[in-house]
Amino acid sequence: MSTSAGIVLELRGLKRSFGRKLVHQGVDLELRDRELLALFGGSGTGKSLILRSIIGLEEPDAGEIRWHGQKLAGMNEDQWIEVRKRIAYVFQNGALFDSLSVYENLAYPLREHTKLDEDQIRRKVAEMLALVDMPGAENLLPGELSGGMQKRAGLARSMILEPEVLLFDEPTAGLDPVNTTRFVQNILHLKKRGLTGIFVTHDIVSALAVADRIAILHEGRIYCVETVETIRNSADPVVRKFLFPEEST
Amino acid sequence: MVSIRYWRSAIEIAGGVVHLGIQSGRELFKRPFYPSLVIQQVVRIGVESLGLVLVTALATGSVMALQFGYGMAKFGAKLYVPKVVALTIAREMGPVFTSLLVAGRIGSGIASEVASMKVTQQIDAMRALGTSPVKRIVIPRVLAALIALPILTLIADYVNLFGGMLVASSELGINPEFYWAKVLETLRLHDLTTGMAKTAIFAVFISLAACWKGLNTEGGTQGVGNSTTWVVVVSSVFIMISDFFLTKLFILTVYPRV
Repeated sequence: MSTSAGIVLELRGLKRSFGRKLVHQGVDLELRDRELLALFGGSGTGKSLILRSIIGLEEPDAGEIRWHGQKLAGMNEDQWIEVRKRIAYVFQNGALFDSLSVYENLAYPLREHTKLDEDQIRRKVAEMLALVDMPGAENLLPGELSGGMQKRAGLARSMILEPEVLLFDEPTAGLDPVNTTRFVQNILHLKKRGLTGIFVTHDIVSALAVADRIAILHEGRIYCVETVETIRNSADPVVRKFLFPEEST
Repeated sequence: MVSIRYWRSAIEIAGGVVHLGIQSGRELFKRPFYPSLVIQQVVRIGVESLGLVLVTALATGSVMALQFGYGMAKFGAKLYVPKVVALTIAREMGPVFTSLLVAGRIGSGIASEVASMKVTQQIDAMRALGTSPVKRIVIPRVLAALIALPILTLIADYVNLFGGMLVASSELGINPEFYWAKVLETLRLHDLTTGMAKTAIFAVFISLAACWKGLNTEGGTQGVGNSTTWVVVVSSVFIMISDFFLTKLFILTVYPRV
């Protein structure tokens, strides 16, 4: 049993349906401080929906989400803005603003939420780009970046306000092995700096490399949440089907 | 069944646009403000539409003078052409034609831009980064349309009248000085202000409808295309229908009884 100490995010009984389709039927999940939780599940099971619900991009039909013990439901947009400065979302495709350069994309949250002058913004942007292995990419437009670079630029933009929690929505989807490795190394580097986050993915290798615990979303509920080691050695057929699908073929 | 579906759809559109309008009104006076985005949009909506509006206005004014001139000449009333053209342009043709052009050019542009941002998750990213799409996207476009469209209409009115004058003098043998004297004698301030009031209403609707549709676009690139078409059709229909009711309202309240 976990205690509430060190729990950053807590999801209790989350329910959500679209028309007649019940996607979440009572999702319970906890995220602890300085842990990276990998969330697995089949396609269309609502993994990304969990992340979107956490930062208020989607509203659950029932259940509650607590952030440091504080209920997030019922907050107005101004209160959500404060939460979103502390919980950042890394979109699957980076979701960079395509009319702005990489520099302007990264400067965007700083201009909105800080009083930094242009020199400080420039330094901060350069620092973040270096962190994601993209030094000197300031003047490029998103359309000029590869898929992997777009994702890393998106990661840099999400991290620039130094949020407490990062929510990764399939960050390695569609990447070649080189870019996947690079992205994983970026995350491992962040982990050393105390990263807390949820990592929604289908990429078992990456998840096993970076996660502290693994949660499996199955039939609208969290089927299990275990450490990587426990999951690796699990004999549970559902767990093995998700993590080691080659065994069932 | 079909009519129920249409009514439901109409109510949904009206509700969505009104709701977005209320949200925009609420956020309009809250910090942060984005004056540079408003200026950017004024340039896009106003300055960049100017050429199109001028050419169309010149053609419309010319055609009107031509049609009225030959029609009224049959009754020996050719000299009334400046009066008729002036009133028709200031009250109806200027505001309606300019608004239709802007609905086509800018309404579709706003809808496709916002819809593209929606389907590529840029709107979600904006919210996730702690900023409001209503403040950054909707309000600057509504304010810009509200500023640009009445000004465009005023310019279009003048060019319309100028086009009318060219045809009146070259085709109908009306002296330009007589033409302008009659135009100035006929037009009253309320003729221009009611025309501009109409465009202000059209501007708010076109920009809000385009933003609302863009923000609610689903279905990838096909959805973007559908939203663009939708905005042009709905805005055009709104302009034509509401123009009738606004004209009726102004006849009852503003224009002098004959």
